[in-house]
Amino acid sequence: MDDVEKKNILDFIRNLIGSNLINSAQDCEGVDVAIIDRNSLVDVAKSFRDNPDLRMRHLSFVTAIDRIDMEKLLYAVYEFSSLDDDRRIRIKVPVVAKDPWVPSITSIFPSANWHEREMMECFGIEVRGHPDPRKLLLPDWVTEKPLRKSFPSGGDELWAFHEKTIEMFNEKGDYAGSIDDDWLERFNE
Amino acid sequence: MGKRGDVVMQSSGKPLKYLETRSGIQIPPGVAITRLDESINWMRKFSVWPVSLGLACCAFEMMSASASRYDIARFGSEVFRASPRQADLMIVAGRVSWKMMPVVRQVYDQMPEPKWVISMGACASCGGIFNTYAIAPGVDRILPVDVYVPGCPPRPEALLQGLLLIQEKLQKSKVEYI
Repeated sequence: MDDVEKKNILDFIRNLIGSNLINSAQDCEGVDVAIIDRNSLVDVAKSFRDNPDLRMRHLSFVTAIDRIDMEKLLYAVYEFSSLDDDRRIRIKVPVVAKDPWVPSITSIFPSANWHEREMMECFGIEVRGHPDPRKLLLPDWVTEKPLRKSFPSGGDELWAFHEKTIEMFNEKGDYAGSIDDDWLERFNE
Repeated sequence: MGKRGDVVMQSSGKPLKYLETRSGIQIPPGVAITRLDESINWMRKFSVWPVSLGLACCAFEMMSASASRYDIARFGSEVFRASPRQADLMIVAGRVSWKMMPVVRQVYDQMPEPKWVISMGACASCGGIFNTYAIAPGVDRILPVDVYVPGCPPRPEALLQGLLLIQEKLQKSKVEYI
């Protein structure tokens, strides 16, 4: 991988979305990082998949970062890589913590489906246009966002979370009823 | 030769006497009397059928306990049932996540009475190493646990001792007649 190619990806993005490319940088491993506006995420993903020169057809992962205490922002992070050439690029999409949503790219990269569901339930970033916006890992009744930094990682606060859940279980009394038909139907899918 | 009604032991030739109770009932040799509770519990405790509920790595120790080396069949519990309707012992083998907890509770509810619960391993008993939002801190807040088997994971011998404790508890339990 030479520097010209790297530059080309960032240049390509800059040409594509113009001022919606907020910032670009490199991380400690030399991977390009492009911080873009959420409105142009779909365009960028589409061009990654379709453009024969880029060939960035592999979505490595989707995750999110909680920077609420420092910047009042959440970042949705997408890393794309090329299976043809040894190239990677990381797309960061900042969203305001008060109105956290990003567009879904599941229609472009189907592998983003479960990642986006996890992002929704664990970070509370709404993914608009997701085909199946159910919870993936957490039970349906959990309203907290456990991977945000405001969620307790242990100690008494975490016990309070557990106690609340136990109370909810015990309130139901009839435990066989704690699985409603709707839940069971989806469980059996 | 003994009298009529005596049973003669073949080897020694000595007659065995009928045992006579205080109320005058004669009990022939080879017959034991006991309380109905005791006999029902005695029969029941050697056919405790567990429901298959392996949730994590403790399940491997549970499988090992039922395999030939440790052989849980020596204690009559080798029949792991896939249906809770046919089981009367639940071995919670492994950590229970909150997402799994309604399922575990429903399986428990579907087991017919009388039923017992072994909480196998540190995670099922108290959450173990998992100090997170996802894992329940002990299954005993949701299910009535009879025996806790400590260990991470417990060895098959420990599980077998847990089973023996269940049998001990079962032998003392009261039988309800309908």
